[in-house]
Amino acid sequence: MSVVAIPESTKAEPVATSIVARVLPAYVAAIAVAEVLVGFVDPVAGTLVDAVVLLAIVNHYAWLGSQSGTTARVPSDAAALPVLALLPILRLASVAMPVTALPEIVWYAAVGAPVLAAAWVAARVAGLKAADIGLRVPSWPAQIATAAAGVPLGLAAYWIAQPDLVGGTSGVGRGLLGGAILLMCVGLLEELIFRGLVQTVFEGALRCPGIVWSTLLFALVYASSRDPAYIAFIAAVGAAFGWCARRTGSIVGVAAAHGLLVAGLLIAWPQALPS
Amino acid sequence: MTSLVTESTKSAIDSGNLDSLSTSFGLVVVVLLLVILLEQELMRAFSGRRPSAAARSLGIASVPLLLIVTAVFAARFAELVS
Repeated sequence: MSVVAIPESTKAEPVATSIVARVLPAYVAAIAVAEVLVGFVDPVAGTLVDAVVLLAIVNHYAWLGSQSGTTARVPSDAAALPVLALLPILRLASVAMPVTALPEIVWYAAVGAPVLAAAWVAARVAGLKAADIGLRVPSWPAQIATAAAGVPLGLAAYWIAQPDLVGGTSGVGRGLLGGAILLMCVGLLEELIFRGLVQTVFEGALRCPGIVWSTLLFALVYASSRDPAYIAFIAAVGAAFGWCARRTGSIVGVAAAHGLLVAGLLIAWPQALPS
Repeated sequence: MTSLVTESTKSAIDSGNLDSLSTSFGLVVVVLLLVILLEQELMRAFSGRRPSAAARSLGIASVPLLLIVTAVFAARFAELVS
């Protein structure tokens, strides 16, 4: 696995005082501004802000690499940059994908595929192995118990948000296929990004635990749902998933729980309990 | 209700604005991809071994953007053909 070189000084420096940690709040604030613009004001302006932020983050990381005399063993705080870049990429993919001609359920796969590719590249560039980001199963019973929590959480989310059934998923067969798409493209993808990558590489940044960063950024990308109760619910779920992932050392259970939550929210409960 | 398909996207579709908006979104992504690819080539061309590692790090953005732009172009081509 190739590892991008970062400066020796960055490698040795405490996370809270390094140059990367000092600019992290600015990047997070810029991403927050972009999310608010996309969700509430002007999606095109928000997309432009995301494009500028993405360009700044990847160039910052490339600059750190070009300054290097050594190869760092990540995770270090510099690895936060490629991981943070996933957020503007997620939003750019979600707004730019030409999906209107496709059934609604296919949108999730169309948007998820490039973001999944980006997450894979970010993990590779940051030098993280599958086990580093929780893609392992140390204990099946714990993961199965965690995954089962997705069913009641999906019902709670449906009770709060009351969304319509996702197009292209009516009936048992299409519902199951749609559930599989949501499991992979929402459950696995979002857990890979937030609990796998963000929570791992942001650990200790600005003296905050990784779980605080993952919950904050997770809630931030849900701001465009425009529903305060749902955003609060998602933040609480994100914190609980973060705690489970840290305690079990795996994201497999929380990814399955997240997939079941979203499949229940958007497919199962709207058909079983139509509002 | 997810971060992948947002309420603003659904609102744009419901109001019939998405086609005009998607042109702007697609343009932003195409320009961004061109800038990043140009940077990658310049880093490779004008530097030694270490900056080429820096150029590779730009792949974080260029790989997903290439996939998005391919989809955007495919959709536009399909529109032209039909």
